[in-house]
Amino acid sequence: MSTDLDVFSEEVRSWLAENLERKSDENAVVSSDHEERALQARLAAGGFGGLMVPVEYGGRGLTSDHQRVFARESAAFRTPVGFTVSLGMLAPTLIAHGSEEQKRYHLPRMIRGQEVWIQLLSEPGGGSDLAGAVTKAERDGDSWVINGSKIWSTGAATADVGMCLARTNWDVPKHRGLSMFALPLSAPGVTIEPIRQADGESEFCQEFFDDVSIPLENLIGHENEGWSVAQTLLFHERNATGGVGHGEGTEGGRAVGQGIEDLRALALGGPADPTIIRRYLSEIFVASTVQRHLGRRVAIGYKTGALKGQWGSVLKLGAALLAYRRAEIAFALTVADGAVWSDDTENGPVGADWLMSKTLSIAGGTNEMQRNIISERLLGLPREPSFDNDLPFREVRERIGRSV
Amino acid sequence: MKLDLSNEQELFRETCRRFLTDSNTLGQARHSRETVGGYDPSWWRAGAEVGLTAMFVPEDQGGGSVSGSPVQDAVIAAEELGRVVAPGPFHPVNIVASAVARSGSLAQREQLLPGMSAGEAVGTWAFGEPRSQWNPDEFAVRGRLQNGAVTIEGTKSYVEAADVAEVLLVAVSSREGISQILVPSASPGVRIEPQKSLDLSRRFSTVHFDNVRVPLENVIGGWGAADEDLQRQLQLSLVLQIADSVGVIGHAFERTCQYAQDRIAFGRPIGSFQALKHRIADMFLWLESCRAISDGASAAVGDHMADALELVHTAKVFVSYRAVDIVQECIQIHGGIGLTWEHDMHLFLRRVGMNRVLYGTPEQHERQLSELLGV
Repeated sequence: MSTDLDVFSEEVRSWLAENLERKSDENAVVSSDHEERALQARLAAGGFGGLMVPVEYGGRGLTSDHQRVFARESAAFRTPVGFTVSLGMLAPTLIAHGSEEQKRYHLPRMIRGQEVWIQLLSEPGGGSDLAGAVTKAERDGDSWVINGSKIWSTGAATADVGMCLARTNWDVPKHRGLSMFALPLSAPGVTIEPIRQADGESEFCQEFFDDVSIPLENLIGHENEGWSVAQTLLFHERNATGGVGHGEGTEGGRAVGQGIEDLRALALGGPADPTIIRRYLSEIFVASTVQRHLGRRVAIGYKTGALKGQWGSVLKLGAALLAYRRAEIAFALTVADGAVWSDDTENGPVGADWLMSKTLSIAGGTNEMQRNIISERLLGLPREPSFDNDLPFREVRERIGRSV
Repeated sequence: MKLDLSNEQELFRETCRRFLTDSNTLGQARHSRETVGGYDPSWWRAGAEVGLTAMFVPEDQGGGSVSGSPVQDAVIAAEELGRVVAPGPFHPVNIVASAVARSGSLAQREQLLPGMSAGEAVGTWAFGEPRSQWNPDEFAVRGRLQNGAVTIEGTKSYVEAADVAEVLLVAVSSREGISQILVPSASPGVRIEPQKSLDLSRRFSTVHFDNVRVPLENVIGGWGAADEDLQRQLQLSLVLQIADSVGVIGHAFERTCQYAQDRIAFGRPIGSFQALKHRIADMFLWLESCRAISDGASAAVGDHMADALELVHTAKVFVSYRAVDIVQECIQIHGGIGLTWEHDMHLFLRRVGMNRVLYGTPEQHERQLSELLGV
């Protein structure tokens, strides 16, 4: 480790000790949005709110190594856990594509927790086929008018701004008629409905846009070049989900490749057979350790330039398969107590986690999409033939019998 | 392969690859069984000039590490050798060299290291036994101190390159503890019985010690005090083996990706079918994971880190299973041609199958890992 990082980690350690609360069993519960924002403001005041964001936009202009040091040092402290999308994915996208005014206005607010951003990409009619979006944006004098619906956005109920992909030209092939917008969620015509998940919780929302009018300057990047903004966003999303880049450590230490202590605690003293406990705990230790090293490898590769492109998809696929297996093993280790429980035991959440264990395999781009990206963009295998890539999108819609 | 190699390490890797390509090492692999020792001695001497035997040998005995990190150098070479399922005593020579350099007396170092470093002499490590499960606590080969000499009795198995080795580094149990002794293979009472092995390139023998007597000064690192050396050699063996497998699967995977682009069926490259490309993507995830944990484990061993043993077990378990999975999937994607003698896929499968069981099976290492973790 270089001296610079040593100095930084010393700075982080002493600041954390004086300014943040250590995690404990009592305070480990998910905090409210209000408290999350207050914690983020405190991080920002200490200079740790946006480590990789350039100084002119309110950040520190540091490297991914610094981000990693902060993630490591802060894992034992109570930090905000809900801003991975805003700070890990949307802030770097805005840095890459936003106008100077957009960056100067929004980024400092995002870093201080005053403005929380979400992504508005998937639609009820299409998730994996993101470029087939049919939410439309039309220019009307000094405004863009948005109509349509987005779905699966995390935390929309409490967020402030959505980065919204909408169609601005129907007479060109699908990838070339999209634009990206900053859409204030408090604007008239925006309706947000929580989606009730299989476990009864509501983490995701659906949004409806009914003649939502936003200023012209809310366009992010150029008109009809929204697909490249979306690509940048997806790149950061996969990295963040895989545990590298801007998002590293923003989930409060529940990082990818975490240890086995929670599973060990779950198993010991429970009814599971010791041989099975040993086998499963070793398996998940091996898988988690390997995934952590994979993250480190990709981070090093990005830094030295040895790796370029969509390596986040490799990490994301690995993380999703691991999360699924982890939930499966946790469920197995509780034996029947993961399926039948009284309210005062800890096994309820295990059953619920198990029920939702495909979440990471679907959210943020399905495993199948990651496999497409890996095989086509990293390995150069040919695409499946498809008819809709080169036709004007209006014609594609007509062919499949849908209206424009 | 690490992604932050120094310039010297990168140069060494390129030199190794050029040497192995120019000498058509992979092309020779099918014929290894037909030759003495499985390799051409002049090829091995040329390999020594490239630096395959130098990393653990001190400079004053004719060696030297190109990067100042002998384990890293050895791992780089091991991966390149694995790519072409190379024959030759790379593994045993370097394990013995590292042991002699670490704990040998000046006389032992001067006697053994220059010859091994020059590619002239071969030494090997006699460690495994038919029933010990690679566990030194269960060694049946015994050593006894008697009138200033050491007597060895018992049978070692899976001893690589024993048929061409001049000297055997034999690990024995005794009343005083684990010891290691340098035994000339020509000593009376040593009987070397070459075996057939899955891996066509490498040779493994069973070695019988029937009342073998050698002088006390052949002991390395103190009588009954070899525990630490043994652990070090074992960890080193494992990271070299893991790197070898990583080289094999890297090559097998590249060939399979190329095949998936070239082979046409139903009017298009088979690699355009999601049914195949998704499996190739999974294989790539496994391959990169193998590379990552191999790098992690070898760095930990090289730097003597506290979690080295944990990482070595982890890497051994993961790479043993996944390397076989990857090559078997490569064969499946090749179809019938992948199961023919002329195709290289069986050479790759043989190699990772052999690596899987040597120095402990993944099942045994998983068990040891769970003991280490206390679960």
